[in-house]
Amino acid sequence: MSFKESIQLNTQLGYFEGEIPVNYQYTLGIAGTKFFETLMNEGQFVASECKTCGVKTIYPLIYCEECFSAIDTYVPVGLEGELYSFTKCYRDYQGKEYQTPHLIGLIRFEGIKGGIIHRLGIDDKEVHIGMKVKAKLKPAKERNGTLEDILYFEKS
Amino acid sequence: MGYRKVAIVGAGITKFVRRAQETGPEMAYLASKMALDQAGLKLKDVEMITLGSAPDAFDGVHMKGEYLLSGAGGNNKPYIRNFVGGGTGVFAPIHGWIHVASGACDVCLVVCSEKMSSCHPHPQGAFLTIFDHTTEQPLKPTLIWIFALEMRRYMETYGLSKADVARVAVKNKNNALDHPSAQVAEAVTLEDVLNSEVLAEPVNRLDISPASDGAAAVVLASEDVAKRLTDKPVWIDGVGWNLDTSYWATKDLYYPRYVEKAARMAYEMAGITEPHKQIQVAEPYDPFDYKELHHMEGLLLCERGEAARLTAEGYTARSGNLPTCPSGGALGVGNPIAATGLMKVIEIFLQLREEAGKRQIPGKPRVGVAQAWGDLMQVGTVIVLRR
Ligand SMILES: [Zn+2]
Repeated sequence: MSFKESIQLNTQLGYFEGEIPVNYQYTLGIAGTKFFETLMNEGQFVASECKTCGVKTIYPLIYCEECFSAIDTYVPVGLEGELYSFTKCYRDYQGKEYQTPHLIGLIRFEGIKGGIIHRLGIDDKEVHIGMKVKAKLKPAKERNGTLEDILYFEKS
Repeated sequence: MGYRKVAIVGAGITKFVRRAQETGPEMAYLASKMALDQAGLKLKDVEMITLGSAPDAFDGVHMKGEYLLSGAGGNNKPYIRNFVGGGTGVFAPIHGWIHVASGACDVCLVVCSEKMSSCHPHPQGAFLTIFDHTTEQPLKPTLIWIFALEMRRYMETYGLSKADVARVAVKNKNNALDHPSAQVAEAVTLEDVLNSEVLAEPVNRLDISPASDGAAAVVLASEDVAKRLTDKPVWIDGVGWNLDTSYWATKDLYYPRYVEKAARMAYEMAGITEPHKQIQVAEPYDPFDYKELHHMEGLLLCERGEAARLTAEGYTARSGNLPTCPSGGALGVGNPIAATGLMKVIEIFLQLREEAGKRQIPGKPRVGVAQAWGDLMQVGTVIVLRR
């Protein structure tokens, strides 16, 4: 290999610029549409419920991961859960330092498989695994059926 | 040769559409569930799973194999993604065959799912980086003008007219009128194809298959399991695959020798010595109309340069001596890349079981071949089925 340790930039080696010139419009899917429409219109979470084996899953699915039955039943879950784990993050995905560190948590719901990962609006001296938390949503008229309809999870 | 016998015992296929509301995993589930139901099996009966899907950049999801995992029933099972670009849809059941023929398992689920509609403004943007970054990409090539070079050279070599080639699009789009999954079935005429918008000479819009969303799945089983499950197993008699150089500009363009090599590999395994006599139905890959002709020749179903004449004579119609793309093909049913190839395998499966409904060809076919092609115009994947 002719890699030269002294060279720091590809531009010094002879190069062509390139890119993949596309962006993406991901559909929510059948179960995702149910979840985000309910969040937007009713201000709460739903899980999918398998009528064959009883497993409930969040985010919902149109099929049961356990027994592979088709699912078209969705049950309300409310907005309250329990903090399963958390982290305090200092830099973004491009390595840039956040102005204020971000607190991110994984929230689980009683009797439900899966969970929601989101920002935490909790003082970092108070945050701890197992604490009860509740989603703080945008006001109803500002919601548009996306993950950003959830502002953060706070102490409940 | 030491391989175990492997049969297809169930198949499932979603509608092919330009824009599905379903996510990739949801589509994978719908096809997988249909295939399992047809085979009379539950997911717990499936020992291994192989998943085929085209480049990640179409869905905009890296690690697409993992993304599609649970929809394809792969959680907590030996599961792997296979990939040879546009050839993936026929390679996927070959990969499943390897699983079962080797004795690694008795039941393998094969799933192909593709969602091209996420890609905006058009999947052509994602195709750009399949080309060489220094010698081709700076020209901002599209697949269409690359194919236009190949199509013109093919036409020139054998003295073919646009109409000679366009008859394939007419046949396939009309055939697709009888396919319940079809996206672009149309009772088009030769004039319609010839008068459609020119995209890159000599390619017109109706010479090309569309971008699509869709999924397909088959269940493969070893001999004793297959015989227990169904009295109509369809056996995988031969498989072949082959890749030519990635420096595609070095190729002659008018003959797909990599398809011939893949076909010879499959035919040898299947004991086929005179393909045009021993094969009664074929699904050559037809993303462009000229490609069906190209591939008929590569599959040794006719002499080089003869495919267009045979098409004009009705030899490849459903009522002809050797029906090609009785499904309607990519040109008529749609082209969700990997799912298209598997749709073709499923068509042969249904034709041999005489379960193709209005698409059923006469004469109780016993042997059929399906083929896909792709990567950078360099891969041939071939599977021979027998009832
Ligand atoms: Zn279940």
